[in-house]
Amino acid sequence: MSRMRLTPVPGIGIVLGVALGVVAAVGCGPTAGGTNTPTNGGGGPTVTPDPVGPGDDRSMGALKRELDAFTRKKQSMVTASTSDPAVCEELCSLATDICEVQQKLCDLADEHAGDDEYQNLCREARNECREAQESCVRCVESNR
Amino acid sequence: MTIVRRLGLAGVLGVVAISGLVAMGCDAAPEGEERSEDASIDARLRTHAIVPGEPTPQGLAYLEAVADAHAQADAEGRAERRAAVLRDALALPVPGGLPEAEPLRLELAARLCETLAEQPGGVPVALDLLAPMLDPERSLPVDRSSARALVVLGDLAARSGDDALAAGSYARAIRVMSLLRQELER
Repeated sequence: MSRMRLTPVPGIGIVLGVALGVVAAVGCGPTAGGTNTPTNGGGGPTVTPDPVGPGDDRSMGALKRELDAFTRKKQSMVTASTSDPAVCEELCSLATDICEVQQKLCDLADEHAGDDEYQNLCREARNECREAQESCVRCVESNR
Repeated sequence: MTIVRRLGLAGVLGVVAISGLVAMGCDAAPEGEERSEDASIDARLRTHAIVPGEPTPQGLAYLEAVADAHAQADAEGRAERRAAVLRDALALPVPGGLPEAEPLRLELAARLCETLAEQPGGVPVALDLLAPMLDPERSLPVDRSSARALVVLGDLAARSGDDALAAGSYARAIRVMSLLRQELER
């Protein structure tokens, strides 16, 4: 299988270790949810009362403040999720693998130059490869 | 009608027969190549998330047996012996309520098929084993094991001359990895 060199998923031993770990962890009793939700100083976006008074339609100013608060929260969540070096490592590993498979796909597309199906798939794969590489770079830069 | 009169019935039949032979002669590509040119690419992808099940002694025993099989295969130098170990592991009955078994089975199948493909005449055997497990109609776990198995299928298909299957498998593998990337970034 000389054409196949997808990075072995962090080693089957690790995969099994993780699987066993999950089983063990679940066996230790329920945890407080499975998601790792970052906190933002103990509170989410605060919805301020509308300056024009209750009962009126909300003003553009209030909506703008809400939007800003949500944007800040989203940004903090993205930063928190990518601040883990292990996440960056995984993102960059995925980028490498995606681009490697993209190369194989586009090699096939080269052999079917007149076939739109192959060309479209190659184009999509190139986009995925570029986006994955950008994710990797973004993550690494945010950890500096 | 003028042409028919000039050539006569026998002449017309002769022209038809010769045309047929010429057409057949143009189709000189091997069977695999012909299928590759004509087949459309199926890059459909259906996925589901793996939700860890409740731990059971049977589930733990299964996970340990699969881990042992991989360790045995690692230690086995001969491809035939390695394939036998992996095939036995793949044949192990999966205990109920163990969703984690699905990626483990895909990992086993991918490794088995890579091993089979090392042996003479092994590529078609490996294709027969792996292709049904990764049929586009089937939902695959959003997991690296799905991507890895799809790439192995793509490589096998490319080696057998089935470019449509290869391209579809590679495209699906990329989409699985892209989903994993998006999950990480969420």
